[in-house]
Amino acid sequence: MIAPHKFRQWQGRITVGSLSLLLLAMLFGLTHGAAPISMTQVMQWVLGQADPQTVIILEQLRLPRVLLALTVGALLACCGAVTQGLFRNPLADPSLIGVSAGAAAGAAAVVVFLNQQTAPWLGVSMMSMGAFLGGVTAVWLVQRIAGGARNGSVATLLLAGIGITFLAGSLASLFEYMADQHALRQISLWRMGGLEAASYLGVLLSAALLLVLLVVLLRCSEPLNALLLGEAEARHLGVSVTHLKRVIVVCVAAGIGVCVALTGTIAFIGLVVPHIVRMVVGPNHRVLLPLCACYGAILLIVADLVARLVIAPTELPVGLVTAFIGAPLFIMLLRQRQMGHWGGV
Amino acid sequence: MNKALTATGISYGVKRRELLAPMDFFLPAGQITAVIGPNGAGKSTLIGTLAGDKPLASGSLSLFGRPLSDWQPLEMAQHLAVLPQKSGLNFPFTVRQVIEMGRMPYGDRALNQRVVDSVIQQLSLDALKGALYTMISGGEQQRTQLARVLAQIWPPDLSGQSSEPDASYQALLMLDEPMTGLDLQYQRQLLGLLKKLTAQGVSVLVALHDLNLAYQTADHLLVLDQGQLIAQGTPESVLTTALIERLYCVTPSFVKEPRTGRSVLVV
Repeated sequence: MIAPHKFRQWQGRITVGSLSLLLLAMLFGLTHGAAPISMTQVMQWVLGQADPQTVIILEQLRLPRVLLALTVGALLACCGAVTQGLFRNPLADPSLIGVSAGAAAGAAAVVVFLNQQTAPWLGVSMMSMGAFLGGVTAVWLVQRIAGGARNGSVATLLLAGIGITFLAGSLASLFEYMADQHALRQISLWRMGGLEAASYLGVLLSAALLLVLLVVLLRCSEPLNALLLGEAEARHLGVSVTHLKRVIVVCVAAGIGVCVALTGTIAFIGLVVPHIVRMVVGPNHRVLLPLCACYGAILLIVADLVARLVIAPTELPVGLVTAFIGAPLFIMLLRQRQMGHWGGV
Repeated sequence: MNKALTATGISYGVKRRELLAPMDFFLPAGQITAVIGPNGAGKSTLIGTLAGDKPLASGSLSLFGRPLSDWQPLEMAQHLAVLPQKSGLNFPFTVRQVIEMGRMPYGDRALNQRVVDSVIQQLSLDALKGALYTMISGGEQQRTQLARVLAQIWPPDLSGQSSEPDASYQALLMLDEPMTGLDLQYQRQLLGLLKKLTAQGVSVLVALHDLNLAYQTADHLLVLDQGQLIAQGTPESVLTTALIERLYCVTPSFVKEPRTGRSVLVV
């Protein structure tokens, strides 16, 4: 881990290095795929001199996809980081507050009960809407249950999250039971997550949300740090803990809700990225959050690249790739943690 | 006598069970008040109630003459610091970062750094300041949390400033079993530091289970038994043989310590 007092001299290098990596990942995301496009062609496109076919592939297919991977990856990682802070547990995951299970139930309900020919509204599919509404409803319920108990401690929030997750899971199973073969396949593909439906509208929506979330969360980075000490400890340092917890839950619900709506469930980024970044720069949210955004974006862009390439010309669902990359990485980290490296993160 | 905190008829309960029976007391300003009592007597509950972590079932509290509900969170943080009995920080902040969090309620960065330096030096944490909190021993973690809490209400005069004494400075420090896990050496150091702080106007409330320690250091005692405040006053007036027998079922003796001539409680 980089010592905080040395961090200032490293800050420039880390920023430049991370952004270069991000650019490099985006460039690879643009050049690789079913139809190969060379770096030169990308440069020509940047300068406005590319041939029409390349322009179509880049502008209609690859660019929105890479940009969506960027914003969604960043959102997932940031939401993961603050969820771990909220639960004061470096192994927590945004799905703990019920958002993923609720979204899955919402999406399944739409697939089963709505006519699939229903026209998309403003370019957003009904399934996305269902997922978003399901996710937000689940979090709202969790919040209601946990807030009802006096003090509304984080432990209650966790238990309420588990309860609602089970409930939403059963609902989703019920919908699947009622579904026909086609709908079942659709639900199961959605569960694995994918970026193939990327549109500029989705990019715009998620980018705007990412910006808002980063501004809001960075503004409360000091209270977020204090919350890691404990709820009472944070309160004694002058933090309005109830308000802070509400801000975190709303941010995570909106962030994950939009991600799930746009891309389905993408596992492990919210868990692994904050974990790794914390190992290198420590738990200070002011530094942690921007870097999480950056490396979450890089990881999802790379995972999507892998998803497109391994069995080209067909694609793997990107959620599978992140799980296949994430799970072994996570187990490796756990082993290192047992061996006492990394300051017992 | 100036009062740092006044409790009028306060009680606390969970559901129907009364954990603290209604009680009245005050904490004298600029003095050390110790809460003693056997395990489960309600020492931590009392501190939690006074610190605002647990809602009162009845009664009222006033801090430095103003009702507790009148205080804004930030203003309160500048006047009241609380060390809980146990802290569960699972994230690898450095020792210095943890201590710096104690200065969160204050904006003056240069002063904050001076205070943190001063606290680190006073608690002999220099060698540890770069270490990760998650990698140090329990006793070291305890000292780090202590340093954080002390930094939060550190008197302006002790931070090496030449400015004139701040007459408006007043603070209350609540420590729940701060000696847990500390070596004799650091226990002594902490006691010395608490005396120094009270001389600067800090009021201290400390829960202790070591009777002799309480007898030696406190100016004022609160004795709890089964959620009842059964005695309060100076150590000499409160700690009688009868009371100790009643509380702990052991018979104490008071022995003159040959070097200082002060009496020491032996149980």
